[in-house]
Amino acid sequence: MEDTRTHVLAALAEIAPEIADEPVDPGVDLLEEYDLDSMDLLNLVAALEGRLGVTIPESDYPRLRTLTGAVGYLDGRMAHPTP
Amino acid sequence: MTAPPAVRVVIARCDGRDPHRAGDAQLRRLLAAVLRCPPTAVPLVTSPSGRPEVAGGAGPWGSISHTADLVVAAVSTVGPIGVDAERLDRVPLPPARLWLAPAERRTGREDHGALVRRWTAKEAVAKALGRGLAAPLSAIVVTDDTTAVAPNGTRWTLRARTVDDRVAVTLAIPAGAPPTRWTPGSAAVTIVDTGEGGSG
Repeated sequence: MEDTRTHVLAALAEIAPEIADEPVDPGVDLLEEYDLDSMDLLNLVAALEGRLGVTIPESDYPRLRTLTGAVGYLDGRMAHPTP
Repeated sequence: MTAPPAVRVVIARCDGRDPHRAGDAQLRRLLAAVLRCPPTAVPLVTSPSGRPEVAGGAGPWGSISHTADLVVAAVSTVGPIGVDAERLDRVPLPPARLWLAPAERRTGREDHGALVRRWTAKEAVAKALGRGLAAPLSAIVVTDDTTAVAPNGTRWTLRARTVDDRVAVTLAIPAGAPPTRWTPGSAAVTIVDTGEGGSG
């Protein structure tokens, strides 16, 4: 969903402000492209959880590696939240 | 010919080089000394989780980390190894609930530097476990300054150093591993035993 994409991009921009100034390739590996490390990833998880009201289990972190993957995963997560 | 130490760490400056390439080069040199081959002949592959591995999986084992302008490479002939480096002044740290175990959250307030060191300890264990991004940091418990317990129950020895007064480096190796040789890979790299990592 477009809203989810907007939230993901905003959360990414919190972690790596340079992302706000350029278009993001939806299929690119975000960690490699923007040289994000595991601490950046956890800060991204925290930002997404806060923005979208979901919990993201550690085993699902690899699904956040691309914009397309993250949006699809988070849409599913919001549609079928795990208690 | 003298055998290289079983556990060795080299810390070098990137000096303008790409840190990934610099780390890869340092790791290859360390592994080449163990395998007695040219660095370019080391059969280094990347595991599905992103960990550098010697093809075949039977060792020697290696790990790389970089931060700021430093790159850290570690090798072991006694089992999987993980190393992590982080600036002591790095902010923000992720929320505690995402990476500290419940018991660790109850131990009271640590200063920022101590939290960064704890982060590097957990990351080092996660790298040794080879779990990549899905590493369960909150399930890795740093029980004291020299020991961590992984979710699978394995115990890991931690060895910590401070580099140039501003970067924390922690090594995770199998419990009982022999002493580590720490070597500056560039001039003017200062490696100080934090007193928290035990001998070696």
